[in-house]
Amino acid sequence: MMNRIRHLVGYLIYRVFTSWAAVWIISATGIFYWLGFRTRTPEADYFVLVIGLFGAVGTFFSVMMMSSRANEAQSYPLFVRLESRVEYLTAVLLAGFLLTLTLQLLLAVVVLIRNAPELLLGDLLQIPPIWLAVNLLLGVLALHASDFVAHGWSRIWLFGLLATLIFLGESYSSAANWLSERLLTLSYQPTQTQAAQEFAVNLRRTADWLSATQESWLQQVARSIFWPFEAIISGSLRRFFLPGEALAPAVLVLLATILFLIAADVFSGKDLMLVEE
Amino acid sequence: MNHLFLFSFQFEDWYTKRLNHNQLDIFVLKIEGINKNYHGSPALKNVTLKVPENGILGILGPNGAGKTTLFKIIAGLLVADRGEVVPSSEKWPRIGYKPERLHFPDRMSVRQYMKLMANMSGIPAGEQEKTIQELLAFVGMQAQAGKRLGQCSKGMRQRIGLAQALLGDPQLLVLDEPTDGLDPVGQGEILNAIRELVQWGKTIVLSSHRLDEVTSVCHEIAILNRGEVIYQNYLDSAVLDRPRAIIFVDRPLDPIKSLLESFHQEVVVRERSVVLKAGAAELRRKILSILLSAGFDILQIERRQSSLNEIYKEVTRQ
Repeated sequence: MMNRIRHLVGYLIYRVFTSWAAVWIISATGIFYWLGFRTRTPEADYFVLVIGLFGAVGTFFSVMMMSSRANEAQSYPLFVRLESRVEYLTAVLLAGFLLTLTLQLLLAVVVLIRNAPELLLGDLLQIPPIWLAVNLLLGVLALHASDFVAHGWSRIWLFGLLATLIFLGESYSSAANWLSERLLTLSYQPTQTQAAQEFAVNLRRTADWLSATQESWLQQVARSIFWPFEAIISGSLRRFFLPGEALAPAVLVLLATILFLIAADVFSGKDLMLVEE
Repeated sequence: MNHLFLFSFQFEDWYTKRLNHNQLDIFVLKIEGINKNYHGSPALKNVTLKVPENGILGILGPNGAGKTTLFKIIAGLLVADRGEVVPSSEKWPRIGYKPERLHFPDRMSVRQYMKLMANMSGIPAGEQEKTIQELLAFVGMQAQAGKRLGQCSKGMRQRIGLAQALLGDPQLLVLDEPTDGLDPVGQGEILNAIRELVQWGKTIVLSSHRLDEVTSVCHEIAILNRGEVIYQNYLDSAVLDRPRAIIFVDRPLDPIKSLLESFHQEVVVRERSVVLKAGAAELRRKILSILLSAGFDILQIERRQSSLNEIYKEVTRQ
C-alpha cells in the first residue's frame, strides 16, 4: 500500500510540474516573498506567522490542484489497481502537503539568508509543529472542498457547519441581543385576542432566554473548535506557549484526522465520474 | 507443424475445460440485481449476470444501454444503488480495466506510463522491464515504447490501453470497446490477442457495437437494452436456439397477408414468401396448412439458423 501511495504522490507531482500549474506555483511563491519580506528584517513572530500563513494557504491550493489532477479520467486505470480508494486520497493529500512544505522551507531558508530575522533556537524548535499541523488541517479541508471528494451536498454541510460555528463563536452574543430586542418589541404590539396575548407572553419569555444565554455552552463549544488557531497566534506573538496552548498543534492534528476520516468515508461511497476532456 | 499440434492440443484442453465449467456453473463474478440511477433516471435495472471463468462474455447493446455503467460497476468505479457484484471466492479477482475512452498523461512516454502502471500493480522492479517489453510486443507497440502518449494515434492508444490492463496478471479483464478506432488489420490483431488471452487462463468481459467481432471471439453474449439484460446465452446455443424458416410459394401472398400476420407476431409475410422468425414446429405446420388450404403451392422450405445480427435486432426491438 505504501509503495502505491508513493508512486501516486510522484505521479501527481509529475503531472503538476509538467503543466502550466508549475509556473503559477513558483510565481505565487515569488510574489508572496516580494509582498511579505521585500524590505523589512522580520521579527521572529512575523517570520513564524507569515510563512505559516503561506504554508496554510499554499497547502489548501496545492491539495485542490492535486485533487483536480486526480479527478481526471487518466486516473481510471490507477483506481482499478488500488486495494482501497483511501490510498489515492492519502496520495493527493500527501502530494499537496509535500509540495507546499518544500516551497515553505525554501521560502523560510531564503528569508533566513536574505532578511536574517532574529531567531533563537527555541523559536526554531517551536516552528515545525505549528506549520505542520496547520498545513495538514488546511490540506484536509481542501480535500472536502474539491470535486474529487465532495459527494452530493457533503461540502455544503461541512463548510456550512464551520461557518455556523464561526458565527456562533464570534457573533452569537450580538445576534442573540438583536433577536431578543426584536422579539421584545414584537411582544409589546397591541393585541386583541386572548391567543395573541399568550403568544406575546411567549415571545417575551424567548427574548429573556436569549438575552440570558449569551455565553451559552453552544458558544463555548463553537469557540473551542477554533481555539487552537487563537492559541497558536497568541503563543507565536508572545514567543512562548503556555502549557495549555502548547497542545494546540496536537488538537489541530486531531481535527485533521477526524476530517480526513469523514473525507475517506464520503469518498469511498461516491461514484467516480472523472473528468473526460 | 509442431505449433499447429500444440495449438490444437491446447484448444481441445481448453474446450473440454470450458464445457466442464458450463456444466458446473463456474464463474468469476456474479452480478446480482444491480440497479443504478443517474439523477433519477435509471441506467441499469435489476441486472443479473454471471461472468463465466476462462471465457469471453460479450456485452452488446445500443448506445446508452448501460454497458459502460455496468463495466464501471464491475471495476469498482461506480457504486450500485441496489444489488451487488459477488466474487466466486472470498478474495476479489484481480481486475484489468480498459475504459471506453482512453485518456493518458500526454507528456509521458509509453514506457514511462507502463512503468507507472507496473509499479501500481506491484510488479517487482527487477521484473518490470521484461514484463513491459513482452506486453508491448504482445499488442504490437514495442517499436513505439519511447513515443510520447500525446503523439500516439487512436489505434496505438487502444493497444496501450489493452497492454496496461494486462499488467499485474489480472484474472478478469474488463474491456470496454477494445477495438474502437482501429483499422481492420488492427482489429484483427487485437481480436487474436483477446482469443490468445483466454488460452492463458484469463476471463474477459468486453463490450462492442460490432456484432461480427462479438461472434468471432465471444463464448457467451448478453444483450443490454435500456438498462436491462434482455438476453443472455452461450453464443452457439443462441444461434441454434433460434432457427428460422422461410416458406416460398408460387404466387403473391397479398390475399391472405393479413390473416397470416395476425396469426403470430413472429410471422413476416413478404411478396412470395413467409418468414417464420421463431422456429417452433407447430407454428410451421399451422402456417403450411393455411397456405395449402388457400391453394398455394409450396415451392421450397428453407431452414436456417439465426445470425447474431438477427437475434440482436429481434430482442432489442421488443
